[in-house]
Amino acid sequence: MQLICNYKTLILSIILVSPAALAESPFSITYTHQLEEPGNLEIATKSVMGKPGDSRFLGTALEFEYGVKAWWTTEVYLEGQTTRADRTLFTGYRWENRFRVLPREHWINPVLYLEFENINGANRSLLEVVDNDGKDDLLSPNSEARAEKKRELEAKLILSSYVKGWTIAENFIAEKNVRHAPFEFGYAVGISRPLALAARPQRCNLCPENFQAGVEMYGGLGTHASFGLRETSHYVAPTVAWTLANGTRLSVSPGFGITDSSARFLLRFGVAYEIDQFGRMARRTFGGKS
Amino acid sequence: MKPAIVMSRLCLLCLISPIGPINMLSSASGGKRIHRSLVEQASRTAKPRSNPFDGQERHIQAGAKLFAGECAACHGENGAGGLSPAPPLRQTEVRQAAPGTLFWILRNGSLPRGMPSFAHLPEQQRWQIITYLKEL
Repeated sequence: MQLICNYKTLILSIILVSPAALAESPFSITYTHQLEEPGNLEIATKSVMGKPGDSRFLGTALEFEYGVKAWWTTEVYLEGQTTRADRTLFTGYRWENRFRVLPREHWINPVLYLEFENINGANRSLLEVVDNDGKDDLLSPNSEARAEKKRELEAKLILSSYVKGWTIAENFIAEKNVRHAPFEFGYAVGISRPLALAARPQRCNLCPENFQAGVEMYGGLGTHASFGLRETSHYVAPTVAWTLANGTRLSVSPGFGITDSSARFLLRFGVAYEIDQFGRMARRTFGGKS
Repeated sequence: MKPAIVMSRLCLLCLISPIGPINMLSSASGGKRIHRSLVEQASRTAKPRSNPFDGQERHIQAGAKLFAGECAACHGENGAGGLSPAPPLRQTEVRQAAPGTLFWILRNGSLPRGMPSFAHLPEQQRWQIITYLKEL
């Protein structure tokens, strides 16, 4: 009985949480040095829709992001995709960790990113572009593509700055399949700004400070044996995020391929909601030390 | 070695890296003491600055709205203290702190003490929060 009451308290607390942060970056691919606040849990979906050949696909990642410490954020993604006239399938998971390196804010701020991913070749989440990833990878039927196993370690150097209301971020990506294949490289850069720098006094959905607009660019850089831009795909993507007064964040980003290897158009969209102090609420619910 | 084990060991390595021990210090300290030392620490480092919105009603209200979204989860509604060990902010020390000191704390946070940086907020919004804090 006590446990049921505790569950009710937890659920009620989640429903009644205060609005989440206004100034989350609107990027779909590029990371900034902003980490999740300690104890907070963000639940988000990141989806991408594209039509590289005859059939349209929708890849979706369900993301759970938790602030372990002020300098350490961990995330788990569960991923799947559906392709028109083909099947819908679970394509794997990834576990990522971000560590803030410097304790104070500087003009440029490094964050180290480490990730393990266990996905298959049918994965269409496209959370990063490395090596010669391109439209050809998106054409294989799911039955064939899912046979390819990708167990990969990925590292990113995230650099970012906040300058007069602008967020500027650069990511350098290195990825390695643990069984074979060379080191693969990629990049993502982005710049964004809220539509207003000062907040309005009233709680509102359409206040300009609730909107973040920007543009990001991302692509592959080959492997350590063939480093460069040759036959790599690159995308330019305007991006907009809108945070509602209740804290729900919606984002949309149409991406345009700018090389022959790129898919011509990718539409990314997502929804995110942050639960403040989830860790403490959960510990309290299950009788632990809060 | 399995990749998941490699990943776990990498994370463990980060835990015992130079920022790891700082984290242990933070958990060993009490919230109120942390707060005092943070304001004291910041006052030694922060540059003197004036708050452009000081005392303006419109910005106090905007600051209250921002506080509810950014700070209240840890510091409690109206800064009265919350679930986390973060200190209450309705205190003389906060009211009397120089604006530059509070601005320094919001910009840098104190990662070892569990206080994140709020540099992602535009400068104007940080000043609005400080304007509200002064009215608590």
